[in-house]
Amino acid sequence: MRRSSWFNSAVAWAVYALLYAPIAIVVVFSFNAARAGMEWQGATLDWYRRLFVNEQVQSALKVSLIVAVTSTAMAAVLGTTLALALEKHMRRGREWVNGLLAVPVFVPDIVLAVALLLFFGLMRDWFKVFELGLTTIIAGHVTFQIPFVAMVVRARLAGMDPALDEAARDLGATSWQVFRHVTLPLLMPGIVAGAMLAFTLSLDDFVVSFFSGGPGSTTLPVYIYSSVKRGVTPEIHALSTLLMAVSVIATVVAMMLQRRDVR
Amino acid sequence: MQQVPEATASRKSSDHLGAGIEGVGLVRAFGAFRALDGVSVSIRPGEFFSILGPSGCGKTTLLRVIAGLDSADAGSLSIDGEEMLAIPANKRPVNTVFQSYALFPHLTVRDNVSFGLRMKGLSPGEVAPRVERAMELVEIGPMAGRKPAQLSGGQKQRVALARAIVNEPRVLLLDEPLAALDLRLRRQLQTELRSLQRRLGMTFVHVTHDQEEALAMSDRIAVMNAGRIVQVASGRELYERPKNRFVAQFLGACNLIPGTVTARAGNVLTVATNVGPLEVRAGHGTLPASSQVTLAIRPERVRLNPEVPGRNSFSAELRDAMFTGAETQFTLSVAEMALRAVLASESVGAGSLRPGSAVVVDLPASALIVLED
Repeated sequence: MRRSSWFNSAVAWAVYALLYAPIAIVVVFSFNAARAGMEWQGATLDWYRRLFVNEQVQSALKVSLIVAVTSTAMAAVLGTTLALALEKHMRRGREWVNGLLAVPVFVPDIVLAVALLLFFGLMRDWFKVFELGLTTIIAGHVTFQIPFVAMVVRARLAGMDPALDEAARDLGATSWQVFRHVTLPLLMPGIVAGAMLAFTLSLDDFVVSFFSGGPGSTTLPVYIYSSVKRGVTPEIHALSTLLMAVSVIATVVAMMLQRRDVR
Repeated sequence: MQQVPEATASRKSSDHLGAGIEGVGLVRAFGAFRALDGVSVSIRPGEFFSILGPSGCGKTTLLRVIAGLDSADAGSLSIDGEEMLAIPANKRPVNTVFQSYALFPHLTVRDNVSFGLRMKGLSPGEVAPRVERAMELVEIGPMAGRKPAQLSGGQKQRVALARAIVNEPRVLLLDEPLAALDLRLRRQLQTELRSLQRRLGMTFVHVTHDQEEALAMSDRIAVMNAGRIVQVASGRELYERPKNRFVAQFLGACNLIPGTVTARAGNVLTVATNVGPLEVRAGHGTLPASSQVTLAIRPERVRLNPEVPGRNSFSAELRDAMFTGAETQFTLSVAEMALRAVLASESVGAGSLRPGSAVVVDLPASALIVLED
């Protein structure tokens, strides 16, 4: 008994070490004064300072934020609408649509990216829309963000007392008033949580942005990828560390919001 | 609950705020199951009307149809003479107190109570005094700033009540409003609801499966079973003159004695039963000789060892005596039949009524009820 619990915790720690060691190394080396190599030459914040004056980084950051904010806003609206339609209005085929909702989550990024590229190509040929660039990246991101928002919002809807809706109607509220004053405020933590997840996914995405981007629409992950080809610098470590910090914070906030009680 | 301010009370009572409800042939089917199977009901303006029945009898469906939260497949429903079935819930002159209270968890008590008035677009100046008055009426003023999660069950119930009556509906619908509360609180709120209804003059339609609650609060009670209304009457009449076995057994305990009519002399029937020949007062129905009937008698109307034996007196054996406080319950066997009797413990002598002893049981003709089935 005692031995097996000791063994279990040792294994658990080993797995954690394996998971987090590479990330920890990147964080540590982002503070290393050495320009190259694996040698520790003292702590510095130089690399972070340099990031803020690097024009390429600035423009990639701008693109990433524009993409993340725009796509998240669109996905939040569309995902919530989808969740509401599924929960309240669709009687038939609900299970099917429900299952289909999860598919984009499991489809490999690369498959989605290639599919989007093909789709955008067709649209360009037929309708002269979707020139590769910011628009296509945003459209691509919205595609994989919607299921995440919809699933989080649906979970919250399912936990809501259906009598609340009836109580509001009984008290004289029109359909719009019920939505505006009861449904939406109660769903808001779920919508924000879903949007936080979607924001993180957009910020971290490389594959879709790489495939559906064009000149002048380089996001941060794509910038990192292209810089690495010229050699990994501590500046890249610093940038990666910041990107990671933002994602972790957004995810933690999303989890806290989801845990809030509906009733 | 608080005294209603003088002006409000007098205005309400003179206006006859309550509306009458007329339901005719209402049908509501869920697949093959008919929750309402041709319900016709007439509720008078300003009365406290209870719909009583076992779970699944359709009582909640009837309430939801009146509220407009559920639709009827056939029939008609009017409130104050105005046809209602085509009118959506938010436009009907009724408000509901839900079984689960259904308070809005994201709003404070005050915002919950003001919800209906705000949705109607009343100005904050009009809303505030009415909300304060309603909260005062059910004594939740001190909780105004709290969220529903911070309230006890009884307080939530009061908020739900205030949220409904603040709109001054013509009809207040109550769906098992006290079911979730403990017994003591339930008894207290029964009294309060009853006096609130008298003061406001609204029509209250109250759904319950608790017969004591219905008897204690209502002007009239409709007993429902299997999607139909079985009998509508005052509580006392239902108890003393139940129409059939279902009503007799659903409201209080009852001895049922099957028999055959052997003779009729004016207003008096003679019925042959396992207990012996019983003389019964006939109702208005015509019961020819040799028709099968069921007689009912309440345990507290059964007399033991009467000073003067009557025509319906028989010798019996006392099987069991159970002391339950104010009352003592007896089980007797007369011929092959088991009968229950209840006596005030005070009147039971210390010695004579012991299990195994022989007694004389009297079933007074005035206490025997002839049931329809």
